[in-house]
Amino acid sequence: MAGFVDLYTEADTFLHRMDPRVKIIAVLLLSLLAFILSSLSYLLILLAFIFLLLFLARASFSRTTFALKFVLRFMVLIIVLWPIFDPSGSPALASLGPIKITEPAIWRGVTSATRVGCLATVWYILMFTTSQRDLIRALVKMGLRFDFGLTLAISLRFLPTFGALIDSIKDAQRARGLELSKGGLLKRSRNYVAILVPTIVSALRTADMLSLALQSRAYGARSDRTYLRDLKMRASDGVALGMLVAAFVLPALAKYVFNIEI
Amino acid sequence: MSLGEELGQTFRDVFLSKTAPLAWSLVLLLVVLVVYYLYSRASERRRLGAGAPANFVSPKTVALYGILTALTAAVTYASYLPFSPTKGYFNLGETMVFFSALAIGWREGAICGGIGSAAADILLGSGIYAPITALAKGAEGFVAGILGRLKGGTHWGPVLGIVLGLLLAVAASWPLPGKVWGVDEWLILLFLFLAVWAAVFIVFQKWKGLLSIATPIILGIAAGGAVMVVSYFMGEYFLLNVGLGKALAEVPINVAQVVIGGTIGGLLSFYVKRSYPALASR
Repeated sequence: MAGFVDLYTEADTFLHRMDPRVKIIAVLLLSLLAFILSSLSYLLILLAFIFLLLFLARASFSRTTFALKFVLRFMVLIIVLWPIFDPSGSPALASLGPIKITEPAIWRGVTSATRVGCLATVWYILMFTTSQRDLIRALVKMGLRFDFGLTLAISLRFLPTFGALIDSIKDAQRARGLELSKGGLLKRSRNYVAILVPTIVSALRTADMLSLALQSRAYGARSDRTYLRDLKMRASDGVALGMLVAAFVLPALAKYVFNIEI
Repeated sequence: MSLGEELGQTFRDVFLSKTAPLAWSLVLLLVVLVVYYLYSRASERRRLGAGAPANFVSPKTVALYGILTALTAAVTYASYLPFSPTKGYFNLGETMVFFSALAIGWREGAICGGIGSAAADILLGSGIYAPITALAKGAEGFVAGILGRLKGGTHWGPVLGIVLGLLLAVAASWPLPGKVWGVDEWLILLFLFLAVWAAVFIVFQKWKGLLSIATPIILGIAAGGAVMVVSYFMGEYFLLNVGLGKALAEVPINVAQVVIGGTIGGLLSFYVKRSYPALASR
């Protein structure tokens, strides 16, 4: 279970210093932009821009390849399967019974795959450059209730703990003779019951202890709580936000008000 | 043309033609903005009453939800099994969704199942699925939690389930206008939904004696599973626009996940209640 959970890489780039709220808005706007753009060349430019940002964020090579492996497989599968199910357009390149492979369908598949690639990689700008603590702090600052933010923080904090717990229970049950790598899918999954029951019981005990700990630290005593580190928008954050909004609004205007095909 | 037909035509023009992805994402954005506005108003009201005890949910709830969410994500992550034919992946995260829904309640099933599975998706490098996963697994936990915990529902439970299944199927499939291979798209989806529902239901009826799972639980698993499979299909087909082929390729894996996850989740809800009696009183 190497490289578990936290995608965040420590560095000191302009993306790391940027206000996490701006980064969250950036991810949302760039995703919407990917839906607006419909021609392959513009989508490729957007994809290149996202990769440029990832490069500038000094994302570590091994983590990026881990993240991209899934995306690439996904894109290849779309390109291969799209033309088989989309017989519209001409000229037809090949046909077999009801299945007809046409040239425009292939291009549509490539376009859709590029869009999916944009949507899948834009997340990593946020995930690689923002620590979990800052992310939740930004969400709370944006209006998420504090107690919901705390729940989210608890779940992120306990994720690696339970990952390690499952691993050690797995080892313990294997030492007692449980086989996890033999048999069919159903049998193998059935054997997981012996691991999941102790895990869940131990997790529920943890929840009881945790609620006592929360109460003993005066959780919910006052509603006007303060924070040690407060988020502040700086001038550079404002500039970045303005540029992002422009990058989203201008193409949208061009497409839906002036009817320019992009 | 009557008013109803005209409205239907407008709906199709805006939401199911070329502009569909944009229209749907704008609707989504609008919903997010409204929810955000309501939240900020509520938090403003809280700030006005500064100094008073905060109106937070109880620490027990915070701890339980946080832990269950983490557990769902961790189980999904730890039992991750790459599945060669379609390069998708198979996991046991479903067991935790069904366990939370069946043993604890529909709120826990929906919230912890949805958010935990979405978190696992982001961590496994398939963040693009995260919004769809949150909706699909959340809906699954919700349906399984409500139907699976009907008390004494053995008589009218199946009838209710079948009616609900049919309604969901029709609601999911009526607006599809296109044709694939000369067959209407909505017929394909309707058939898909009913097939998934029937398959899961029949499989569980067969295992009933073996597992000694009561009928409401089978019903909850079958209906929840069908909702999940169809949500994934709709999300991939309309929101991500990946094409019919890729969307259909996911269906068998998802059905297998529901069958196996449902079996183990149902078993877990019995075993854990036996070894941790504090849970049974909920």
